[in-house]
Amino acid sequence: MYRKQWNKFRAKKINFLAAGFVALLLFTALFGPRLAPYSARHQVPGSVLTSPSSAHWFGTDSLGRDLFSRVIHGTRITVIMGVSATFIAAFLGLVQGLIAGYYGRMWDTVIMRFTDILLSIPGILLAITIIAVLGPGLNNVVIAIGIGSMPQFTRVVRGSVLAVKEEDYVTGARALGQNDFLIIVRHVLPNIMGPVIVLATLRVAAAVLNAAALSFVGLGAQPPTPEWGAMLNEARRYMRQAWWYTVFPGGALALTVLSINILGDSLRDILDPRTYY
Amino acid sequence: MKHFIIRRAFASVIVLWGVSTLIFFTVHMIPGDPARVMLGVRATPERVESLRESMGLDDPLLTQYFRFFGNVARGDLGRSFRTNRPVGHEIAVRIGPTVQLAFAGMGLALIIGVSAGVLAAAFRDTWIETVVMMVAMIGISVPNFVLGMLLMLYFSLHLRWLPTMGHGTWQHFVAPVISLGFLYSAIIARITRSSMVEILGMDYIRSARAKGLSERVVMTKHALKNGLIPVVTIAGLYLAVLLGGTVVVETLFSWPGLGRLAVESILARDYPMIQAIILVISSGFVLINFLVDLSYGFLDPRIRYD
Amino acid sequence: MTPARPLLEVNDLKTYFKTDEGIAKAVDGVSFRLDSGETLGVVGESGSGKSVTSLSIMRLLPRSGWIAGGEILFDGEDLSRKPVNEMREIRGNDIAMIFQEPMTSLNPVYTVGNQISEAIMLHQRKGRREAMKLAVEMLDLVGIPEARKRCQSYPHQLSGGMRQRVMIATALSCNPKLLIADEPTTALDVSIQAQIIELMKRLQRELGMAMLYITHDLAVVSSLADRIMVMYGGRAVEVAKAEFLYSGAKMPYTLGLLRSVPRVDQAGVKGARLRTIPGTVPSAMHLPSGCAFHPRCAFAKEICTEDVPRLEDTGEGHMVRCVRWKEVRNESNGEDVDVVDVTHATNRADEDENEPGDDFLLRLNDLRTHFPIKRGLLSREVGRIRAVDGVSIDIRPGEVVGLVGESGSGKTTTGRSILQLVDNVSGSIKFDGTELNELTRKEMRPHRKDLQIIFQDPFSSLNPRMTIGEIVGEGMEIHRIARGKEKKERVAVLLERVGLSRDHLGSYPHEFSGGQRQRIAIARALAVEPRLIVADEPVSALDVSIQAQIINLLLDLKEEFGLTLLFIAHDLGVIQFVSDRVVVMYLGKIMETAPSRELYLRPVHPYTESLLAAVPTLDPERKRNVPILQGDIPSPIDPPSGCVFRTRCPIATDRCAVEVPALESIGREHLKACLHRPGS
Ligand SMILES: Nc1ncnc2c1ncn2[C@@H]1O[C@H](COP(=O)(O)OP(=O)(O)OP(=O)(O)O)[C@@H](O)[C@H]1O
Ligand code: SF4
Ligand code: SF4
Ligand SMILES: [Mg+2]
Repeated sequence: MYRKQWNKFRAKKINFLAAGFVALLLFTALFGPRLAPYSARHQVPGSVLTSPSSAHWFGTDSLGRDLFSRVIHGTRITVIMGVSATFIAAFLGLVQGLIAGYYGRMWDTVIMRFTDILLSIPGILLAITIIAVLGPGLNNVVIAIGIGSMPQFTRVVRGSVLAVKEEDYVTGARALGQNDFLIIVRHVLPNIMGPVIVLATLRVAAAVLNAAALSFVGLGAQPPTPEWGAMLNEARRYMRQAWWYTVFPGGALALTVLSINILGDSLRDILDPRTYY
Repeated sequence: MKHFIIRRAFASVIVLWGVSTLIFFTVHMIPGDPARVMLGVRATPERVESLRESMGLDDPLLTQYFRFFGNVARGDLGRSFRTNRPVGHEIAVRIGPTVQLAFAGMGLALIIGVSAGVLAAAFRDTWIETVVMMVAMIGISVPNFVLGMLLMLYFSLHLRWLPTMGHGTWQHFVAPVISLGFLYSAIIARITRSSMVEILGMDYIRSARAKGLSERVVMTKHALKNGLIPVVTIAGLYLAVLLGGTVVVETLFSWPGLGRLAVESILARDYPMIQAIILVISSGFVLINFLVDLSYGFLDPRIRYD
Repeated sequence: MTPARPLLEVNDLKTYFKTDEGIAKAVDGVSFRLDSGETLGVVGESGSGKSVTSLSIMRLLPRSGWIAGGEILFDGEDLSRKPVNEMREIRGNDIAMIFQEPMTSLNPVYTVGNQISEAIMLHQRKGRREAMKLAVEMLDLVGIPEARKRCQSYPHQLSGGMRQRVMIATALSCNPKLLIADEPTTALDVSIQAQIIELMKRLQRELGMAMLYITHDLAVVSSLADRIMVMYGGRAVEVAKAEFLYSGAKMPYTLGLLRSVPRVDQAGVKGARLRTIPGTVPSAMHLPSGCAFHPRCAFAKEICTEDVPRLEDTGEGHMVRCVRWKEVRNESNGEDVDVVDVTHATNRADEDENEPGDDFLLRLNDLRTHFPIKRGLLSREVGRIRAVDGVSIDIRPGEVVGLVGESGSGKTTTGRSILQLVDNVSGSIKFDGTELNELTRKEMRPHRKDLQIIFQDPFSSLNPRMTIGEIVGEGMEIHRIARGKEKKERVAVLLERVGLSRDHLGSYPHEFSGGQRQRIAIARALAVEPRLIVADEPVSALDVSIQAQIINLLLDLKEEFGLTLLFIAHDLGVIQFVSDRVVVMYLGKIMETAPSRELYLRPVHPYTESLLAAVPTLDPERKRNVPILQGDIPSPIDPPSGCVFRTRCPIATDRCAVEVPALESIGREHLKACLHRPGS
């Protein structure tokens, strides 16, 4: 049944690279802290801002900490933030989108106006405001980014529900006397999951990016947390002396987002080829 | 047409009203006493209380809400906690650089994005498409501040071609505009390509070819105009991404704009300022999308303005 | 005299496609010739390679397709090897083409005039102004009123028929020597189809071009082609003069096809079944070896599976691709092609000597479904689509009532209103004594068991994420008819009954063809043991040979389960064949209703009459002498006053604009809504 899909995936070699990198990422997130040569906070005496070497593959930072270890420790934070923020967004978006799309009328008007309002505030500004309310900290960053991402899901879910609702099999289920709950669960939900999964993948990438951006401007993870965005913020002050301070955390961040995006793209080609996002 | 404009304008106003209401209540949920924040921890309770009174903070929330709207309608956005000067003044100073940055980024993105997308669609399944789409993929994946830092490392610090930060000459624009516009160009290039590829599969493209028209005419006359319709919509929606990007890019390049002001204000708990900045930026977004809606008619005769 | 060089000569053309699953041989050795001024009709079911043949000639194949062999000689030059830039000088100039979907074949963002003049400016090197003038002339020629004004219109402002005329005008604007028309009327209503066919016949006479006319409808080609080529599995299987094919077909497939078509004149034979071709249309991916038709052919012998038969000349240019054509002729001797299977048939008229009874299963009284059109912020109602506008029908148990009408006549909405699947329904729907229209959604639920529906689109009607077992079993669960093992067993039995196998229980819909999906949909409806089934165009999306199978199946099941059917279709032939009684609708209202044979023999309403006349017939002798309907169907948002048909009625008078004709009885079960017929 999935032969066609697999053939499509297989057609592009880059998909394997991306999938491999994501697998590495997940592995690092799970076991990295145990495998890293140093702890995230260990300051190696006498080696402040040393350039990459066999002892410190990524060099050391301004406090003499091993950057390689810090990048590895940061992976777990990044993965958890990206996935949980997207999970919140997808869940809330699904509920809203299903109600708006399936029940229509007032529900639709209210939910979609609310969504329009949220969409017209740039996500990062919205996140900043929410963090102001909740206070800084990683958990709150996750919530803020989740809410910022939610309207995207609402829109996509609603659009798909509207399309699926017009399919004859839904009308057929109504003609059989099926109740709304089971129509949604059996007929609507399974048929809108394609676009939702695709969007979720792409939003994980965006969430990783936004979380790092918040930490970078000083509103997310705070030093000495080994979060990549926060590390880049520290790196700014030492750009003249230590290129590795910028390049390695930045590279890790970019590669992470890139590989998730590539996977998301190929998922879209496979599951939902007619959308633009 | 007139009705259409009025209706769209009305809808935009509703959205803005929603934004400001949302922001108003969100900001009022922020824990802590604004008067205390303004005066600092060492102020006497009496001083705090009198300030609360003069700011109307003891009034019921709804009263404050209506007062806020009355003020906004008169163009009064409140006073900054930090400087105690009218928020509007500060914003007036800072808005210019942000608008410059945003428009430069947007212009760059539209030109590069649309051409790259069309190119990729026209040379489908060739190396040109592969390269363009790969670059676009990188574009949507590299965070703007990482790109900015890399540009800074190489062009400012290593080659010394560009200034590292600040605002003034055209050289100051290069790195921030690229950092801001690259992502958006990539987004537009991807949308344009998908849209063009879809349009090129339409029946009317086959009809055009059946008339014996050259590929160039098919592409530029028959496909492009149709292909741009979704691009315009989605580019409008994604504008929020670009505007949000100013926050980060301005912080990185010490650009004296609204984005950096927003970060400074949040760190200083200057809520009236935050409130005003979000309102101003969202208004920009809503205004541009309103113009996008109006421009549809020029692209798509099926849109009925009634 | 040596025969003159043909205008177009295609020799052993092979066109292949690369697909995910391998190579599809869409066209696998097609040869034919076409003289100047001649019309060749190409018929075949879906996937037989008709469109691909024409696109190969134009060299407009999609990216995944290529010409793998053979030659296409046009005026002596081989098009299959021409460089693309030289091809461009031929396209639109010497060879022009029109396509099936007038709705999507014109560019929505340019005016009609712009699109017509484009080809003129390109090929005739005329200036914009002159080209526009010519464009207006062309629009005039194809019968578009107010051509000058219409030039400024955008495609979405025109109806489907008008757009097809624009396509024709564009195609003819450079006086092509050859016009290729790929199903130009398939997407159109019968009355509009009749207009377009008339137009094409006239233009061909006047302009003298050759025409390659592609269609799946044998009747359509037989009315306008000189010669007909039948295609199957990417090959031509029979080529004959049009007048010979109907009575003298020699290839088993053609014979089968001719017999599968339900026809207007076959009305009123109770128990009659269509003669069907078993099996399904093969896919280009897995063409059977040897004669591609052999798995479905009643005459097949061992040799048929080995080599591909030659296209053999059997005299007078009648070519047949069948090794056994001589025997076929003898074995099928005596079976006239137009006789249906009447083994169990009785004439309905005879049987119904006694007055029909008064016990009705379903009574619709003044059914109205108006969809509000809402605009603006406050969703103000600015108008109404009067989809169904006062329909009264009574249906007896066990009856098959056919509902026929062109698009926008409200057939589907009527069906869905009965089942309470749409809102805004007023009037009375009495089902077995219960007023359905007064029930709440919850109260309606138990009654849903009794009323079921089958849809038109076999691809949208089955949930792609559910197995066949789940799909068919769902209704049994809801109405607590059976559970667990018993449910599974019952579903399996049902699947076998509709012609599938119990092994299909765990399969998903995408593994089935359109016809098989329709069988599954029928099983789903039957699973709750309904009493009435609304069949909404259940065979419209299917190929002729499959359509016949499904019609027979529905009629068999009807007998077996004692069902009552409301059968909706736009095809009068199908409707006449299946129904006991036919209801003719136009713009939400009933025009006429009568027993099907009566309706065929003695139509009273001018609309019925012209509808019957507009149906293309296979048999040239059965032509009716009624003028075809002019103009387009008005919009149901703003229907004409008085009699809704008056804008197209050939005998309308002033009175028709003010007085709404009532539905009056004029004979046993024969009702009509016309002020002037039958003449008083
Ligand atoms: N782009 C394509 N890619 C792969 N296969 C194709 C493509 N176009 C057509 N085919 C295959 O070629 C075969 C012939 O198709 P074609 O469109 O010529 O049939 P047709 O006789 O015109 O049928 P219809 O009545 O459905 O229009 C079919 O099996 C079809 O699946
Ligand atoms: S060649 Fe054989 S299988 Fe084919 S049509 Fe003739 S008898 Fe049938
Ligand atoms: S009532 Fe008048 S317009 Fe209507 S069908 Fe009869 S004659 Fe024609
Ligand atoms: Mg076709």
